[in-house]
Amino acid sequence: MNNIMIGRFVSGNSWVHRLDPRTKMLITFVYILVMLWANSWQTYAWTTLFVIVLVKLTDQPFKLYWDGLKPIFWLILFTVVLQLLFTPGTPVLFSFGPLRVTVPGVINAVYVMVRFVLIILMSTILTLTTPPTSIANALESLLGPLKKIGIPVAELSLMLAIALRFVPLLMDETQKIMNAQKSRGMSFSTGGPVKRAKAIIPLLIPLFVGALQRALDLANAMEVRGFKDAVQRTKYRVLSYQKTDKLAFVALGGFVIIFFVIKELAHV
Amino acid sequence: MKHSIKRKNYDKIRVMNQAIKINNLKYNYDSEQTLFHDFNLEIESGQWVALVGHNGSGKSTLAKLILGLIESESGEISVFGEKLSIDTVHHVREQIGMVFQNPDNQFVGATVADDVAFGLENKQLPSSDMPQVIDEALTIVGMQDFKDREPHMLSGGQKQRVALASVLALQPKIIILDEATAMLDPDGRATIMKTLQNLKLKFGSELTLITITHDMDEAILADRVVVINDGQLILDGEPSDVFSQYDILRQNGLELPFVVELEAQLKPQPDGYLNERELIQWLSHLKK
Amino acid sequence: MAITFEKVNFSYGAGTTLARSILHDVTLQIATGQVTAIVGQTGSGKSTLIQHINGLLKPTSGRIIIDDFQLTASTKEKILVQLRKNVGIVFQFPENQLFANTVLEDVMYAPLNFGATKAEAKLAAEQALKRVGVSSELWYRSPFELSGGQMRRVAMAGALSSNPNVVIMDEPAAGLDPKGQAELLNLVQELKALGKTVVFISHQMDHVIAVADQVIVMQNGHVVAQESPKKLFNRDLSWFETMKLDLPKAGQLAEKLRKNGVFLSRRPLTLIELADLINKEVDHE
Repeated sequence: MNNIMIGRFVSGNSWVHRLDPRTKMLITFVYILVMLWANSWQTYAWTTLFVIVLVKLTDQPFKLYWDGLKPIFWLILFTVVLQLLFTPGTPVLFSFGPLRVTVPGVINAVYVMVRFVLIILMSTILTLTTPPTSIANALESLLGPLKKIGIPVAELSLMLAIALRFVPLLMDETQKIMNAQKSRGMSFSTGGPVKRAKAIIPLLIPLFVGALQRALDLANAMEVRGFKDAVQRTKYRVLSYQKTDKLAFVALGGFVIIFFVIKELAHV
Repeated sequence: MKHSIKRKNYDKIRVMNQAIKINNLKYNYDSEQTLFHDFNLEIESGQWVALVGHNGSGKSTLAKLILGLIESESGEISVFGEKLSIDTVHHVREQIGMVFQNPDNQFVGATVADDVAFGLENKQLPSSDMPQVIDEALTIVGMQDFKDREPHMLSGGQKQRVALASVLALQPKIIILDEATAMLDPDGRATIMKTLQNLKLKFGSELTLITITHDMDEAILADRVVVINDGQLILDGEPSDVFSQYDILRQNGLELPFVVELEAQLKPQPDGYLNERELIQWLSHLKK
Repeated sequence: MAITFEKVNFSYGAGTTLARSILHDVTLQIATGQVTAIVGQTGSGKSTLIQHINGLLKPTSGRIIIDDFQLTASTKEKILVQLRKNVGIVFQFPENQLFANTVLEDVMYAPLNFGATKAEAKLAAEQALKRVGVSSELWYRSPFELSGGQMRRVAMAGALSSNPNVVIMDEPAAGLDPKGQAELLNLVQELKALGKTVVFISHQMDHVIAVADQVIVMQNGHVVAQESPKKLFNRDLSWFETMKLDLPKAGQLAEKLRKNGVFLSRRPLTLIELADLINKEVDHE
């Protein structure tokens, strides 16, 4: 089964669920932007606190977020190790050969890890509480002005919504094909690089053929239900900012201001 | 003079009662294989027609031709008197709903409600009207409690019921189910067939139903059974007529429905074909 | 080749927060050279169970013995190839696994992976294709040009070409028309006649009655029955209701007759049996 949580929506009725998707996207965007300025443990503590509060507000078990982090565990580890080993500076804690682990290295490694985890958590909050169609809708609305310079925003957002909808299906499909070919003796773990690359063909071709078939079927289903183009459509989920959204923006403003105050104070 | 006017009116009524009329249809898979050649079929409004044939007999292709998803070489397809062409295809499609075989590949929305909404959005229904229409459509298929569910939380049968609701929300006059139960387990199959029977009860003559299948136990529920093979019309008639042609059905890769096969083995035999309910009644009377 | 499950437990993502327990204390035997049907509701663990027979999944605890091969949680991935050579699986909608340029190449894939030479693999593939009834004109065509039914057969040949002693099929009849279903049942009987052990998952009880020597019933990851079809289908009606399991069509109709006052002396399992019983009953009157 797929335990990748990124991009998966879980329905609910929490305060965060009910926020306008545009609000959530803007919060996520601003948050990640602000993260770029974080440079001290105080600022990291503040940004962490903000995410923890948000996670609490989503009313979802923390294990869902934990599962979202697991797939990128190795990526985080890799980055952390790079930081540990290749950050110059003093004092040096210990060294083996040309590699030395320094105190700034350790600090950097921790910061990088925290930053990684927070950004993933933040985007998980967005996708966990917002149906893909709403994300696409929000994107269409936020990018609306780009229509004027000829960018097909409506089409792109519909494409995105459908792509998101099919991610879990394709993951399942990959697993099934992998099982079928393994049963026919496929093995990834033996042979040189050429042989290994070749071993992936029996996986890729059925996957492409299957995806193509799905796409054709879906196109038929869409056409039969009266789809002509993405522009001339009404929307089931109408976006409108509510009181809670205003509150959320005030909270976001507060977060940003306090962040920069903490940052300045930490310097002094 | 009077007579001819009457006649004209009659023709008009007849045309209006014709849900689908296919005339001299010709269609080729590719340059070598002809599938349909001089194919004719009329389907009356309000009928439930089962279109049966083995896999590859052309029955699904026919559905795609009717909806203008693929183009015929020549011949004519009319839907409620309107000839299918590039100009009319969108209008024709507004009158026909279709449920396809694969439950996953026709689920467009992220949730059940979003999926039903998709067609309404295309139709440019005002947003404020949508929730009610969606609720009504989901209630008909018994999925109203699943409105906010995502597709991966539904069984195959439930997904197909949502697909049916998506179609019903658009209020088509004709619904085509293209092997909609082929990928389902017996439970899912049974609920879909039950839902169709309820639909027929609810809408009666206002709804024309075409079920494409190779399962004869499903075909037996229809008012009329049309058997095709290699793009040819093999048999056409009421279930009792069609199921009396054992040999022809077998030659075309089909079986008999279970009850019909049973009736052939009984001594004494019933007079003509009975459906399951009738057979049970007949037997219980025989005992008394 | 006998297959034995001893107290097999399995959970997905064992040891993590997401752990989902699928199989509970599964103990069962599948006899060599017999046809075993696995039935149960969707989600009862049938597919998970069969994936243990060729080591696609390994038990979280307990062990599985397939002839002289022992599969446990600690079995190394590398030696599983030996097991898979002997256990062929035909998955649900197997036509989705086709990939090669020609039908023949696709069917040669398994024997080549299991160490056969090109010539041997070709011979094995041809044999398998003949067995499932794919005519030789199609052997050098692309599998993607074939009809759905032909693709299904090619894919089945792809699982049979390594000449496994155990053949497992996951709902092989799904989506087949009546003729295709009849041919499939013939194939199962043919494989049995060749001395193979056949295990198949099915929702169609009439197929179970037609070919199975033994039935395993699963519910919520437990094996709740393991016996001959005859014995199974003579259980109480209420048992079938709790298991959400169908009777064969003949049995279903007999039950409906009973509700309408037509009592048969026993529960029929096939159409012929049902007709005989009704004829006798009517004769008596």
